[in-house]
Amino acid sequence: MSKENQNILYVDSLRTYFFTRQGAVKAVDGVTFSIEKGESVGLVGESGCGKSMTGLSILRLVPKPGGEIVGGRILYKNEDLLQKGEEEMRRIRGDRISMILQDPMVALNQLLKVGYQLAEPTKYHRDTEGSLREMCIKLLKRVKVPSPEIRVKDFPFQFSGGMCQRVLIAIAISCQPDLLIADEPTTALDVTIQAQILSLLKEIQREFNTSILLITHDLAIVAQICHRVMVMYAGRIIEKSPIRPFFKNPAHPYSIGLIRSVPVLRRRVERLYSIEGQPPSLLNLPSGCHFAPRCKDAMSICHESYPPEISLEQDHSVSCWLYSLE
Amino acid sequence: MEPEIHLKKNVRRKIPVVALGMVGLFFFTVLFGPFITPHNPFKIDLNNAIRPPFWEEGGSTRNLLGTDAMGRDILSRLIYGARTSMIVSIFAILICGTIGVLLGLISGYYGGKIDTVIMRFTDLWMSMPTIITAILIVSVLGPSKKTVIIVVGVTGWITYARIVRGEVLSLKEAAFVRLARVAGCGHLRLIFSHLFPNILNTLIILVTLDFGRVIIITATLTFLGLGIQPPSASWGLMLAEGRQYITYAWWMTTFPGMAILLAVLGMNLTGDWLRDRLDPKQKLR
Repeated sequence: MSKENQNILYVDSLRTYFFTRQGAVKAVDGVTFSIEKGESVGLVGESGCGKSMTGLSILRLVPKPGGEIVGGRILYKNEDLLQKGEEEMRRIRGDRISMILQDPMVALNQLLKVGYQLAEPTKYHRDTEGSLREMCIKLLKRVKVPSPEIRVKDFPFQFSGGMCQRVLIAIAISCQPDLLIADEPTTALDVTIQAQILSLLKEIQREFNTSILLITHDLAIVAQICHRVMVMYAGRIIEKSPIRPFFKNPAHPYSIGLIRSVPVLRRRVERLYSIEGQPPSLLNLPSGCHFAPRCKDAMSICHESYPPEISLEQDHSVSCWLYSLE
Repeated sequence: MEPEIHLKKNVRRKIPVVALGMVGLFFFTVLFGPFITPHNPFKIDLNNAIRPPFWEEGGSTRNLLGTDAMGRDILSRLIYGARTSMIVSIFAILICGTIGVLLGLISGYYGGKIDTVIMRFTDLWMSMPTIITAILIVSVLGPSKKTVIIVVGVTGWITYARIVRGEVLSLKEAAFVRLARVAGCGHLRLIFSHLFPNILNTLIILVTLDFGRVIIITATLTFLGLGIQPPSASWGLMLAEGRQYITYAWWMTTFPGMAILLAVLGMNLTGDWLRDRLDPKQKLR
């Protein structure tokens, strides 16, 4: 229980399904994890494995109609967000928990001034004392947008991609949230801007002691700013580990594959390594371990039942049959 | 290659002089009507009745477009008729625009059961012929300018509701809507300060095109005696009054007919042009 108290967020066997004509798509299928105060955790996985849906589920913003959280608990400061009413959730969003969306260029409303959009969370959640404009300028300054006094009056189309992302970060931190969910914050940006945005996120985290859930498919980003990493595959978390042991000794065959497929500059290879096969359709998952059909080390039991979560070391756990035999 | 593309672009972007001219003339007569009418449009002068336009035999430059059966100046009545049309159009469009946009926003945004109820209601409403509805309303309220406004207002909102709903349906999946939700924006605020500005360009086009429709319906109702009553000056009324003289006094019906034609055509052409200019999807082509 004491452990749970430190946690800013504890997600317990969360399940988010999409109901389609072909059947239920299990986008998030029993995900359990926790995030401590001031900690940043990376959630990695390939496209369509349910990372973004996990993020949206926490805010209870699963796209409707179709998407639905069908089970589990999401404890924020020991209060279950799934039990809260819509109005209570609205008060939490953007205030205690906020989110940076992917694709900054289209996330802002093109018809409203940047200053207006910056001020929104504050308008909804705080009794505004002092001028909103001053606050916007301060925020823009904080995320290092040059000449903020002029920029607050600009429209989003006058901003570059990197600048838009800074604005989105400014919006997300404007109420100093406890938890910041960053959904692929650097995917649409080029590498130099990526580095700037990442160091900005890092700074902000230190300054406000914010917890960050960083959703990405880029292991390099995770290595740079996260304390812990969770690997997601086909709707489930298959490995959780602190950052160092993960890159040194990844346990799950999928994680090993992921790390191996990152190109290394020093090694000259004919072909880049890639994991054989395709991720399974979330409509009809294989029985047993979801990764088994692509796994080189698959044993007969892997095709029969899903492996339990096995603890390897402190905070390092994996869902794989390979480790249960030892 | 370069100059040719440029040229093409210029041709396409050209301002439709003719259409804007028609609309301009319409607005000019509406705004400055009382100052430019050569005669009092309501003054009856039976000694001067059924005068043809000035270029016909028996016409004079005193009444440029002739006079009607009661000796009233046709040109002056046309100018006042433009004002009547304008007033009716503005109020009618305000009514149907407000109803339609509100229902469309709600229907598109909330979806589900609310959407189904509203859309089935519009289907039901659409299956009632305008004229029948008009007769019903007129028989209850009595024919007048106000009644015409109400009739056009309550019959015309369906287009607005459907088009706005469609726009909202596609817009609500947009990332900026999600951003607003993430920021803790409530439903009503999201609808009015985020979604509404984004449908404004469609709305402008819709309103322009709707002007033509309203002018026609007003004229139709008035022609049938269900709308504006004599002695007001209105194009539909002039058509109705001139009908019995059509065989030997063509000017009594031709000129108001042409006024309707030009006003509606001008508005429609302007609407089409606005659609090409304001619709971002069409601009790319």
